[in-house]
Amino acid sequence: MYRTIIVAVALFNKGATSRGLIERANRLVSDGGSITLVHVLDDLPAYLADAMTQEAVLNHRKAIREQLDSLAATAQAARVDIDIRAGSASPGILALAQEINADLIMLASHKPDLSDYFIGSTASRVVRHAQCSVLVAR
Amino acid sequence: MYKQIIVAVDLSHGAAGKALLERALKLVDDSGTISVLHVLDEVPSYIAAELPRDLNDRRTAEARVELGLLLPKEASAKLVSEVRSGAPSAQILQCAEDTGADLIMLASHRPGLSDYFIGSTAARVVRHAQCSVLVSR
Repeated sequence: MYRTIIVAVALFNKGATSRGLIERANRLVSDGGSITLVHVLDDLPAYLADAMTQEAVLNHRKAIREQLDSLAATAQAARVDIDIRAGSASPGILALAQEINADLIMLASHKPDLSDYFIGSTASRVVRHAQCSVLVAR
Repeated sequence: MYKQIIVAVDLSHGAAGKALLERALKLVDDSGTISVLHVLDEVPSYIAAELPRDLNDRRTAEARVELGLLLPKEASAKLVSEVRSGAPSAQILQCAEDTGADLIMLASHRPGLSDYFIGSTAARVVRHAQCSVLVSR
């Protein structure tokens, strides 16, 4: 149904949520289509970045990479890619969608409560600005 | 994949609704239901006073007929049409709550600058829905 799907992976609860999303993506992707898993690493505030050793940062990246690799193994599409980028979540997801010309972005979100009236979530920011279809799973 | 889907269609954008419905039929479980919802905008009361009293009933009836034309006959067992009036995002969310929906599907435009300030029905639905939402563009 969709040729180029992005699954935004947050890696809470050891990726259980993302596993569910990927299963769904497997059923939505058309023959010969691609699934790209993306994880956006928050930028560290400068005062913390100084205190962290380069090695710790690299180790963290490596751990993320391993988790994404194991998630990617469950994706069934002609092409499965992994993308890790740094920065804020919603601009990162939207930039990737534009780069690979995605036609569907999938991401999980919590059930909204009062705070969402004021702050909003990554999902609502992605929906507001994405040029393609968006599936918010709750 | 989903048991109870709400497909919000805007009858003034006919083709989008049809495509959305086709997609919904692929996503719904064999025993699932799809509610096809159209929301009529509420006429402001200062105008309503000038209009024939049965206008609202007529608009509702017309919308029902138009919705009926949109629904494919072969899947009629799964489809329920629904017409409500009021603010679209609030009515869509209310309908989702009433039917215990697990997915809301709606079409939206490609966002431009004005969406930074005003936002769309789709954005409002995503912000407040308790279930999954598919925004189709």
